[in-house]
Amino acid sequence: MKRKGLIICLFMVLCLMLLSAQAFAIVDSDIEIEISSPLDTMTSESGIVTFDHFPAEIAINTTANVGTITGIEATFEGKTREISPQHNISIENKESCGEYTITAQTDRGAVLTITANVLYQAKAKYNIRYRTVAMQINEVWDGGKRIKSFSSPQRIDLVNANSIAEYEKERIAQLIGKRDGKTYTLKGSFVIEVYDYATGIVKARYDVNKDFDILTTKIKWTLETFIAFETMRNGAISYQAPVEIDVDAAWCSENKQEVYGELSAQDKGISEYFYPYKTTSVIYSKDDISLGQSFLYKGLEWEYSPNTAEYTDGESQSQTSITKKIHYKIPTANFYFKFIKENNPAGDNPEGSNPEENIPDNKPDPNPDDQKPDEEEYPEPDSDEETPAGKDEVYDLGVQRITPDRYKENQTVISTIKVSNSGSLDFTPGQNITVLFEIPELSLSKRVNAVVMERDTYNVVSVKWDTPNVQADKNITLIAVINPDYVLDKEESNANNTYTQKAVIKNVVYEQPIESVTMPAPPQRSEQPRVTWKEQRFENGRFVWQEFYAELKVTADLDYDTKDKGYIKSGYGFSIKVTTSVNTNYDKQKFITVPQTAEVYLPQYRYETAIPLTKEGNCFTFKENPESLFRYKKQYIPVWFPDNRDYIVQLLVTDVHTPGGTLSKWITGGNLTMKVVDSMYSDDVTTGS
Amino acid sequence: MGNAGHILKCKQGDGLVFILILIFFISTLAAIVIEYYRMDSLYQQVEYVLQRGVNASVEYAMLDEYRKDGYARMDSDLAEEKLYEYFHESMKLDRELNKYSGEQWVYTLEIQSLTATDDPPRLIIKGQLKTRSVFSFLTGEVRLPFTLSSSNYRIDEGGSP
Repeated sequence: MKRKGLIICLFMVLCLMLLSAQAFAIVDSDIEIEISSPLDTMTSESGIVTFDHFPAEIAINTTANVGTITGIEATFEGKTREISPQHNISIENKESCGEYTITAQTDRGAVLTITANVLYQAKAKYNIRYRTVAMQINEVWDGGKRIKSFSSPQRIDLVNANSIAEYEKERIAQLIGKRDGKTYTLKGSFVIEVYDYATGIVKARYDVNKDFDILTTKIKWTLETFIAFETMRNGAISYQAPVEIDVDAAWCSENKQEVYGELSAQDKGISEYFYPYKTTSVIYSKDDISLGQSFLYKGLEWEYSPNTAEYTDGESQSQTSITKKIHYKIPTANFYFKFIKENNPAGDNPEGSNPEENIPDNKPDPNPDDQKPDEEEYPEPDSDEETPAGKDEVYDLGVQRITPDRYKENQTVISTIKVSNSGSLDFTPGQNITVLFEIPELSLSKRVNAVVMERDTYNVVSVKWDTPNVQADKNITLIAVINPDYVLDKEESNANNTYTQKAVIKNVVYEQPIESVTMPAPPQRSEQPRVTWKEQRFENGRFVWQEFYAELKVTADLDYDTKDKGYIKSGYGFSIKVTTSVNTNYDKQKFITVPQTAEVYLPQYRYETAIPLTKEGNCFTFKENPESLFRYKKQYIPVWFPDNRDYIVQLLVTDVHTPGGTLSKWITGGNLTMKVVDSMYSDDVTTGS
Repeated sequence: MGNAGHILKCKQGDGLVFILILIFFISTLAAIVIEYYRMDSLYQQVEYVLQRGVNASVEYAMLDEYRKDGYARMDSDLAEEKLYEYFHESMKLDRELNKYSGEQWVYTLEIQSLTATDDPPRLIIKGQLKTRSVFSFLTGEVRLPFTLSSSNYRIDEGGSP
C-alpha cells in the first residue's frame, strides 16, 4: 500500500512538473504558434530558439483554437512575407540568424504576434562554457518609430535560456505602459553567464553586444562560439498591449433619460483589459434585469462610437436580445433596452402581484443564493417600538452622498454615506431604518441597521470593506439605498432613496526611480493629520450631535553604522523605522483603520518618486532593496552626494481611513536628516607586498 | 708587495705592463659594479611600476555593490584584464611584454603565474625580468625574479546590515 502511495505521489509530482512547463505560454489565446528548432520549442510567446549546426530548419506551425486562420506573416530584417500554416525556414548561415516576427490572425479578429530570436549555439566541448540568462532591453519601438529608450538597460530574465520568466511579464507590461491594442517591440541584447562546467562557479556575466570585445578577447573561445556570440548581439521580443473594453447595456425609458439599470461587459464576465489574441462574445437580453410587469418593452437600440462600416448604429422594436462578438478592435458600444412605465395607482395592482414589483430592481441580484448581506455592528432595532408606518406623519428618507470616490487596491477602506430625513418624523434606534450599501462589480453587499435621525436632519453612516487586488484601475459603482426593503411603506417618495456614485479602485504601481544629480530642496506637501466629524446619536431619550476626531501621530528614525559619530559616508545605506498611532475619541474603533501606506521620497530622486515601505509588526521599514546583493532593507546614499551636506528624507504616512476622511502626515527632516561626510571608498585600502 | 715594488722599479718595461693590467682589472671591476647598479636600478624601477599597476588593478576591480554593504570583493577577471591593459597602455609593453626604448630593446616581462581571488580580494603576480648587459663582454641575458601581490582590506566603519 505504502509503495503504491509513493508511486502515485511521484506520478502526481511528475504531472505537475509537466504542467508547469506549459505555464509560460500565453493562456486563452485563440491562436497557437509553435516555433521549433532542432534544440528548442516555443509556443505562442516571444523567446529564443537555438540550433547547433548549419544549415538548420526552423519549423513554424500555426493553428487556430477558435475560428479559422486568415493570414500569417513572417518579418525578418524589415521584410515581410506571407507564409503557410506549416512553414519551414532554412538557416544557411549566421546572416540568416536573428529576429523573426510571426503575426497570425483569424476570421474572428484575433491577432497574435510573437518574435523568435533564432540563434546559433556552439556545442560545448571545454570546461569554460556559457549560458544565456537574460536580455537587456534598451529601446521600445512602435513599428518603425522608437517610443522609449532606457538610460540604464532593463534586464529581463530568461528561463531555460529560451523563455521569458513568468515574473517578468508584468514588468514588461509596466515598461510599455500602453493599453491601445498595438504591438510593441522591445529591442536589446542578450546577457550570458560564463561558468566553470566542472565546479559550476560563475566567472562573469557579459552583455554580448556591449561587452563583445572583452568577451571575445579575454577568453579563448572556439570559432563556433565566436559565431554564436555574433548572432546574439541583438535581440527583440514582441508585446501586445491590451485594450479597454467599453461595452455597456442600459435598461431605460424610451427617451433614454431615465435609466432603470445598467450592465457592463465586465458584469457579464468579460475582462476589462482584453488582449488582441483573444476573442469572445457577450449576450444581453432584455430579461437580464427584471423591471416588473408595469414596464412595457419598446425595443432595442444600439450605438457605436466611432461608427464604422462594420459597426453602425441601429434599433429594432422586436429584438429582445443581442449577441456581440468582442475583439480588440471593437469600438465603444452602448445597447439600450427601452421600456415605457405604465402608471399604476398606489395599491392598485391589476396583476395581483406584490407591490414591491412596481419598483425597479435596477441591478443584478448581488445575493443569488439568498444570502443575508454582511451587517455592520449597529444596534439591533427594538421590535417593541412602534414603526412610523402606523403614523400619519409625512417623511422622506434620502441618500445624499457617498464618499470617497477613489480607493486604492488591497486596503481596508471606509465609505461614508450621508443620509437625510426630511419631514416631521424622528427615527430612533428602535425603528427599522436600514441602509444597504452595494458594489455590484465586487458582489459586495453590506447593511447598516438602526440608523437614527431627527426630523429634518441628516446623519452619516460608515461602511468598512476591503478593496480587491486589481491589475489596472477598476471602475466600480457604489450604491447606497436607504429603507431598501420598504419596511417603512408610507414614505412620501422613494425617488431619492437610492444614490449611485461612480468610483475607482486605483491600481498602485511604484515606478522605478530615476537618479538625478541635481537636488532640489524638499517640496512643501499638503497633509491632513487630523479630521473631525459629527454624528447624530439617540441618547437618554433625545437626539444629540456628537463630535469625533481622529489624529495621526508618526515618529520616524533612521539608522546607520556611524550614527553615533553624527555622520554617514556616501555610498552606504540606511534603514528606517516608522512608528504610527491614531488618537481618537470615536467609540466605534473598527471604523478607523490603521495606516496602510508609508512612502519615502529621497533627494537623489528629486523627491518625485515614492519608495514604498513595508509593515513589520507595528512599524514600517524599507522593503528588501534589489540593489543590495544581500537584499538588505536599506536605501543607499549615492556616492556622488557632496560632503558636509544634509541628506534629507521625506516621509509620507497615509491611508488611515476614518468616517471623517483619510488621514495623512508628512515628515521632512528632523530625525530624517543625516550629515554626509566622506565616502565609502575611504573605508578600505589596497596595499601591496 | 715586494714583488710589485720590484716590478715597478724594473727598468726593462715590466712596470708599464703591470700598470696596464691593473688599470684593466680596475676598469673591469668598475664596469661590473656599474652594470650591477644599473640592473638593480632597472629592477627596482620595474618592480615599483609593476606594484603600482597591481594595486591599481585591484582597486579598479573592487566591486561597489559589495563595498556599499560593507564587504570587500573583487572581480578577479576584471583585475587581470586591467593589469594587462596597464602593461600595454601605461608601461608601453608590446604583445610579448617587451619594453623598447626607441628601437632599443630594454627588457621583457616573463610572467609565470597570475593569481587573482575574488574573496579575499587579492592579485599575485610571479615572474621574472629578463634583460641584458650593455657591456657585450659581460655574460648575455639576466633574469631577475619578482613576486608582487596586492590585497584590499576593509576598515570596518560602515555598510554592515
